[in-house]
Amino acid sequence: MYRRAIVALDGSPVAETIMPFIFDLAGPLEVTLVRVNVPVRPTIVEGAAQPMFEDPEVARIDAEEYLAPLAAELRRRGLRVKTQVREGEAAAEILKAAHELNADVIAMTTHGRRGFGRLLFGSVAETVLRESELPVLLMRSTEADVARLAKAATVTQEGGHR
Amino acid sequence: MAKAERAELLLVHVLMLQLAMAGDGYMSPKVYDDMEAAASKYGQKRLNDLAVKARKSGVRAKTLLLHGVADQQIIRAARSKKADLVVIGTHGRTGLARLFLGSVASRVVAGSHCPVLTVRGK
Repeated sequence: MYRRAIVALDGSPVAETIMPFIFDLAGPLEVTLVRVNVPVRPTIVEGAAQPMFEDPEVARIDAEEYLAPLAAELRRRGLRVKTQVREGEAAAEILKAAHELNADVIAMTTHGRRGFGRLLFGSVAETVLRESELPVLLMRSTEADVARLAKAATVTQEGGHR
Repeated sequence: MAKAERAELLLVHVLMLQLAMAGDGYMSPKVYDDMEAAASKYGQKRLNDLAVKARKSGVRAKTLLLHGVADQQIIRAARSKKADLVVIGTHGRTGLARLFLGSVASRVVAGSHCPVLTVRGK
């Protein structure tokens, strides 16, 4: 039985399309939302004396602010939710988080890119799928799906509570 | 999971077409027919055993035996049966083997209309 799920998010609306499935699946689940910040390479601004560094602390606070409303939405539906912001290489950190938190399942979205033979979907998802000893719930999602979901949400809001 | 959600399982097995191999020498069409019939029979038996197991633990289960390329058939079946979730095992092959063999699971993820739960085989 699955007890604890890791939901990996990268800050994009595409990644968030996994959330409705968490509502559906996660009756007794304890959910941890994980956002991995990939350390940014210094940006070189022309004319500047030094390369610009993004403050990792600022990035961490941004990520926490991103996760908070998503967690609140899950809590409103009666789930136990934790959030975690990590820094490093995405796939490796997702696997590490799952291990550290003793998760039973990892859930994430794959960015629905097509073509290019071997690279069927996002390489982060593919790496997690390949390396994980745990079951992985993967959903393919595209920008079009995000738009469709947003539209459906407004329709339900207009139509009142179901 | 299936039990808690009162979901119905559809157990699917896909048989690959048997292709004549160079060096096999001549075999009459009947031999191929026999091979396919034997494979179908064995596949159906394995599915039935699994369905019995599932029902014993209180889960509704049906079986489906398909012929063709595994990932395509799985994607098509999931769509036509309006599945909410596809559950599939992965081998976790690495390195060169992964490059050449690819992965049915990853191709199913790429083509499926619904979420896919991948489970690593031991």
